[in-house]
Amino acid sequence: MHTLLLWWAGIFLNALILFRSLQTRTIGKYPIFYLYMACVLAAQITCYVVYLAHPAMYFYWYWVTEFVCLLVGYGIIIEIMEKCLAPYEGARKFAQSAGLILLGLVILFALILSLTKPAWSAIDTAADLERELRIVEALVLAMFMGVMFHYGIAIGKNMKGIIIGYGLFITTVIIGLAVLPLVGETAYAAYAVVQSCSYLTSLLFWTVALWSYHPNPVPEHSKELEADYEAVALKTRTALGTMLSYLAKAART
Amino acid sequence: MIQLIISILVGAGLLFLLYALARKGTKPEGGAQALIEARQALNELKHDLLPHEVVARIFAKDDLDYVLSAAPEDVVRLFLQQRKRIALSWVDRVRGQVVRLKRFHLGRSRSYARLRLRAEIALTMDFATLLFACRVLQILVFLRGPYAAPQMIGTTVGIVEKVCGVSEASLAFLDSTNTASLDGQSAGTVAGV
Repeated sequence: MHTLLLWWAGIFLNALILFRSLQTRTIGKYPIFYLYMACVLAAQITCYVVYLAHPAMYFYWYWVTEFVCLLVGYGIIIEIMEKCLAPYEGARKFAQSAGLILLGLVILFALILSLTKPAWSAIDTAADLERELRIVEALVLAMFMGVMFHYGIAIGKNMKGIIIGYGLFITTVIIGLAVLPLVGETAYAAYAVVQSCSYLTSLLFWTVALWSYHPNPVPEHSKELEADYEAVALKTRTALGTMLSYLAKAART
Repeated sequence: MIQLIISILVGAGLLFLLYALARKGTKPEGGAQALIEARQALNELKHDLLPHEVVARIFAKDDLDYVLSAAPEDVVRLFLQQRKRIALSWVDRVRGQVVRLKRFHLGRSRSYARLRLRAEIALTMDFATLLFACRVLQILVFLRGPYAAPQMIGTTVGIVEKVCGVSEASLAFLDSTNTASLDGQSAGTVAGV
């Protein structure tokens, strides 16, 4: 009964967010996010129908929809980065390079881990794959937030809501899927409730944050300041290098 | 077990960042405000914190020698306490101004299209090392008093003066002829206390 209530509440909020996006025309501002919303809504409805009509098929259908939503979820991260870093060319370049390095490290780590991995079952593999993909998603999101804090980039209410809501959902999934194998298959029902509650919380965040359109604040630009960045960065580095060597010498004495 | 630890670490890290994001304001940083702050930081460093006579007075060993020779023990203790507080406050303010200058640099570099990752990381590391050095100085002064590391204070002053020089050149709208002169200065003029 509780699960069904959560299900219906989720469908209602999801539909409300999509309805508001059409009303306020924010659908054109964050198209991938709303595509994700539409995918999740479709998944929720079809899962419910499959659950009632063919309960045996539910398990397979659940994982199909879960992976489709996960893939579109990656699109949200790209959209977040694109929208937030669009006016900051330097920070965007930094984030892209850091993202590539991160991806390389993740692939390397996954290769090492796969060599030491014990035997697996079908259920665990799907859950494991989702958890690992979610971890990569979380790392990319964390990296982006690190860049944002480092460069002092401010974002609007809409984007803040999207990031916080999606980040909370990812966190719950990651921790839930990590704890699940330790507790055993009996905990799957409890996990479904926890995941639904977490998603409902994210939906509440999104409903409030996206009720009306709040764009990201536009930074003040100074062409003169941009012009000679390279020269001054080099000078700063040279000067700092010399100074730091003095400091090291002083610290030793 | 490794996966559980990784998952919990990643989850906790992300939660922490989300919390920080929730607390972060939506007001744009940088721009004219950063310029003003950087200019204020430079003024404070140049006129209030870094002048040789100010630094020399705060960390003057002859003051201590005089108090040691002429005053009773409780006066010496009080003198050391107050000097320590002043020294800590001085390091703290210097560090604060360096942070503002760092923000100014980041505010500029974030918009620069031809930014080079390696140079940017190196610069960030250099600033981090300088700020770390200030922190070490704070700890040394806190633990061993204001006369614990005179050499290091002198060197830190020298470093911050150079950072000021470079930032000042940046604030003068990056005239490359101004910044060129900094290379020659950076080697010799480390202030001594």
